[in-house]
Amino acid sequence: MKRLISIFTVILLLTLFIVPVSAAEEPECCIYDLAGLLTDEEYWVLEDYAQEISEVQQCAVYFLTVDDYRDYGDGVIFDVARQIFLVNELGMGEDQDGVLLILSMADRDYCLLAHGFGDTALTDYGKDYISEEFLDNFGVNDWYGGCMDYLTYTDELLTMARDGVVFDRGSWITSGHLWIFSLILAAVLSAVICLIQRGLMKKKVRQQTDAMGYLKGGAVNITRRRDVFSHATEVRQKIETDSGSSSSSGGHSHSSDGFSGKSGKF
Amino acid sequence: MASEITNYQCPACTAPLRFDGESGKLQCDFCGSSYSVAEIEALYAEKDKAAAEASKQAEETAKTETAEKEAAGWDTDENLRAYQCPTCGAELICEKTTAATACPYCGNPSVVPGQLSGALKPEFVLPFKIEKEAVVKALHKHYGKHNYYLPRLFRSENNIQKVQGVYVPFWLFDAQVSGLGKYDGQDSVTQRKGDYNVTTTMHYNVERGGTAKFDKVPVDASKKMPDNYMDSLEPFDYTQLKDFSTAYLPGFLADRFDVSAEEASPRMEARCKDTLEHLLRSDIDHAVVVPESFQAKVDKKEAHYALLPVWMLTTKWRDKTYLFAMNGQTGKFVGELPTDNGLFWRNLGILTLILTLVLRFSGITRFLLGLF
Repeated sequence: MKRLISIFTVILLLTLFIVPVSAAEEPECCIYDLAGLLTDEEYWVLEDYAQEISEVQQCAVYFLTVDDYRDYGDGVIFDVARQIFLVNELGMGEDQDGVLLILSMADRDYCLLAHGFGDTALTDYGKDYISEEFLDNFGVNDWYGGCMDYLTYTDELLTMARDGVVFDRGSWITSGHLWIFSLILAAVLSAVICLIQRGLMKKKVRQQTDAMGYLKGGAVNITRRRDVFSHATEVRQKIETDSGSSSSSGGHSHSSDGFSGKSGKF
Repeated sequence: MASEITNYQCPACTAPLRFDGESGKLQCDFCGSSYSVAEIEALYAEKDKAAAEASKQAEETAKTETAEKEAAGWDTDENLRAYQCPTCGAELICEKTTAATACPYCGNPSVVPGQLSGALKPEFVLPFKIEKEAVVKALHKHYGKHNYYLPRLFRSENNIQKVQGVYVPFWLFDAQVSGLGKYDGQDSVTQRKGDYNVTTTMHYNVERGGTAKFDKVPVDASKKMPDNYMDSLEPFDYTQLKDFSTAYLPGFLADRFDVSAEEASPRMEARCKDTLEHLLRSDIDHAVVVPESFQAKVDKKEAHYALLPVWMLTTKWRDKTYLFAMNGQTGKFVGELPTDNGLFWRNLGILTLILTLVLRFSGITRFLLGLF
């Protein structure tokens, strides 16, 4: 049943472009499982949850799984996700507020796309935060758990933004924190400076430990010089690369038409 | 009977003479006459010889008297000697190592030639070059203009107790040291092989042996003088060394050695071996050198006995005495200064307050916290 709805909606919207979702109303459907990863029961739980979030936040939250994103557009996964969002007029309200997570199974690519209020609420730091939560599930093919994490944490960040606090790097810092850390940092720096200064001023009187100044001729007469190879040791260190990792952090993308996204592998 | 003490007196007016470091001559402060060391040596050669002989006899007598007094149950102090000032006749009580002093009654500089003759005669003397007036100036320079932790009252109220020019006995060692060091030499190269960075380290058994000769390594030969102060006064310019003459001593204090060359030798040997080890190690051309063993021995050594010029200055502040020393030839000044803990905490508090405001309002703290 859910598969029929998904296929019907997406195929029509993506290829024929004739039945766009009304931008001012609630989305008709939030979960599009074209790759067939969810059971019917899982689908409806997630769909209900996504609808509830979208309604409360007035920001549509979508989850789309496909076999290969290249079937739906040109470019990298961020470009295709953006095309899907625009062509189908996804999102809610005049600003098309929405968040879309797309999974492409061919190369296990994902893209978390945000627009309008979704873009405001999900900063790059916020996208990293949500991605960390769902990638560990998707990495072990836990599609339901991953999607649930995605919805839960997106809801959390949208709620924070509605309350006036955008989740971003350092958003937890309050004025009190700034004073306390400034004081601690200043005390440590001052102690180091004062101790060094006092050490320099003390003018310690020490015994001499060498007699370099009394060396006759200024040099040593070397009578034995022997360097014999003994053995070799080898240390191997793996080079960390972004590609090929199932929990890749991927990269951030921004477009001039108000989209931002984070993509990578899962 | 001849006196054990010689007072060098001006041949023109009989006032006391003193050695003047700047001119290198013996100066009479009363009539302004000055005499070269050679002239005074010639004049006083006989007198010094007689004084040395008298000193020897007096020492024998003193030993006998001490033994008799001890047998009679009297308290005796072997570290003290009594002399009679030839100018005013007062009795001078000195330490047994004192070789030059000043009479506390008439102020005349007095030399005890017996302390510096025969086996006790120094080979060299390095005459004073720096005058007494320069020492106090050097002390104030030593305080430093920007010493934020020097107690203010120490700078303003501190009382200079004593400024004394002292010829300190030193052993100057000529030595040849040989040694052999064993090390693990390491050179590394890193290459990329597939998904790995592979670091290959080549290890070498390295040996370096060699000899080094040292010329006149100084070790102070007076128990009274703190070793760290005397070491800190180095270096002395040995090109100015003179053959010893008591004529350089008037106006200054002098002691004969009470640390023998054998007792002083280990300090010299440790310094020379340390230097040789450093030199051998610096000859090794590997990126990393890990020392494994080092053995060294002194092949040859010869000790020269010399008197070197040192200004000693003591100041008193809050019932505590602070000692400073100055190289009487080069002017190098050493000495530990007190620090005021109150000033330290006050400066720390003010700096912390300023930095807190700077960090808080410059955005540095926000930036640093944002990294987490």
